[in-house]
Amino acid sequence: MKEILKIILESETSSPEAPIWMDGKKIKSRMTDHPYCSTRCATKECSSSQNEGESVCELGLSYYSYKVDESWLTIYGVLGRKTNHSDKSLKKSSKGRGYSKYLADIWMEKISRTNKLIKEQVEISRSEVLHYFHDPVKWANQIHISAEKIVEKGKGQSFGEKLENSTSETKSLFQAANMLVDSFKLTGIYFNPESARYGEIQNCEIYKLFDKVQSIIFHAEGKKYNKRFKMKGTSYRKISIYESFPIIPLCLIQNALKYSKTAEIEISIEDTSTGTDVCITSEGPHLADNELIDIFKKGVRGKYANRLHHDGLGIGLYVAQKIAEAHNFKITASSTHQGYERDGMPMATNEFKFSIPAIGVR
Amino acid sequence: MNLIKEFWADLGWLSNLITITLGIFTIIGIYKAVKTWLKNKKNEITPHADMQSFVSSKNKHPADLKSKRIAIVDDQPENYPTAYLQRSGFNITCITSVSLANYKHLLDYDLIILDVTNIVEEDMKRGGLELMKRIKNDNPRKPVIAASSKSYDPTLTEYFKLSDKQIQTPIKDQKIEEAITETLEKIYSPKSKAREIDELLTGKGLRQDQKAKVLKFGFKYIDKKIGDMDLIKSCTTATHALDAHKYKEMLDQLSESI
Repeated sequence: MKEILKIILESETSSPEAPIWMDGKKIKSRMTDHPYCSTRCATKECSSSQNEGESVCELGLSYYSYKVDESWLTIYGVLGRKTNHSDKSLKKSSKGRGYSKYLADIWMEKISRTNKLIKEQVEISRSEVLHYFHDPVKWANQIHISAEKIVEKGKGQSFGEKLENSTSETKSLFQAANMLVDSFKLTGIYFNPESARYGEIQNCEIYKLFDKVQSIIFHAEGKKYNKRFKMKGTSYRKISIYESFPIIPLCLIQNALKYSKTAEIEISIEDTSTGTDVCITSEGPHLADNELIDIFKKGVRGKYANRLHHDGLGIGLYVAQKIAEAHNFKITASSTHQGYERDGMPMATNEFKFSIPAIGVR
Repeated sequence: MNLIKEFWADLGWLSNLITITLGIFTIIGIYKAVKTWLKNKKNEITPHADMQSFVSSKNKHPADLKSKRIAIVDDQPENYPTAYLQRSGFNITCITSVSLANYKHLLDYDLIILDVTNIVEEDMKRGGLELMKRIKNDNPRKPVIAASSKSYDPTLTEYFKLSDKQIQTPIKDQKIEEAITETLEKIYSPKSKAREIDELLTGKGLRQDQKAKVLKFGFKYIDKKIGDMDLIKSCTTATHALDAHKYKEMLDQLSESI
């Protein structure tokens, strides 16, 4: 957790000796920046370094990069072993800035250990609170099993036929049970992203999955809001996925339903030589450049989200992205202005795209 | 020489009989030797196309998975359709509580379905995690299915990761039957192991001749015609795309199950 690491570095007990970057942002340290860094350096190459070990910048100063948890920490602007010690002007301007990699390693080890201990304690506290989740999850599973058994007692050859022939109450019960179980799965991944990799690995025809999900959502919510989904593209490929994967179409299609202002939402799926490309397109409020990245973070919603949908905790896209990462791909968003406003909101064509590698997770 | 000729000439019909009999035995012996040599040569030239066909030829009596002993370690055995599983022929034992001081009897089972809370006397909250670690430490190949709805709990990540499969309870009849059958097949069925090996070789993008060589060495290794070092050396010479040590490990697992 980046927040914990930042708090540790900014606290007086662990304040760094030498200047330090954390993921490209400066952290306050006891030593000020080297005069060369503040007056001569234009590139700040050390701030984005992801090479562990000692490196030397173009001005001849050493910097040490470390990966701690999910963050990159770089101690910079110091004299190390690789610095050119024969450069007299560098030496003259670097008085008191000798900081060996050995000392940096010791300090970083201490920070890393403290971070790990606090993280473990946070997880244990969270686990105590989540303990109360245990029974509702089991009850939801039981309701789902019972709902399936009720449908199975109906008329028809296949489960799909039996569901089609069920009463509207039975259909509602089954769909609600499905949504309940999926909501718990989503929440489970929110609290523990590792769980995106649990369960069976299945070979799945992506097109069919998206088609099934859009059909369920259309009948459950789409009709009510007068929205329709248009499936496009050619895809027959089967890819091995984790059990959590269906949450991705669920989140993206539900989002498109909630936040679009026009009737049609397009879902395009196409096989390529390396995988299957998926794109969900809808028209809705414009998303600024920073929002296109931030909406995948925990608890973040778009600027106009509240106006369109009061409920929403900014969980869906975060979870969808975590599941995507478990499957070795990333979801990206883009927003193109349409040049008009609606209800005081600039409208745009919003696309959520990703490419599932053909190799899958097996 | 003349003495010998006279000796045989004196015996008459007996000598003819002995000569003919010896001659027949010699011809039969030569025929069998040639036939065996030709068969071996044929196997060398056109071995089995893949590991699965090799295993099929070896394994006339497929593993009886239903005879495997299964332990369900859960404080709420009613969450499992045990009656259904027993009717389906599975050998199920339900255990509601275990002590860390006395858990080794679980290793006698062929498959363990393990809950995480309220089953270990010494730690009711997450004793299943410690038990999982100990079982896997004692026998990494012992299959364990993690049976818990607590996938949301980050402190239990290791419990789920160490397991061979994860299920949530309560669970439907067919789903648990599938989970049990798949896990038993994966560990105890030679065909399943052979399929894994074939998938490994296919995934490496080997040329036909490379694949044939690697398979040939694999067959010889299983038949104990070559040792570890020879297998690794030969496979490494045939292709660098394959991890020879991993291949050997998979062949060892396959040998155990045949």
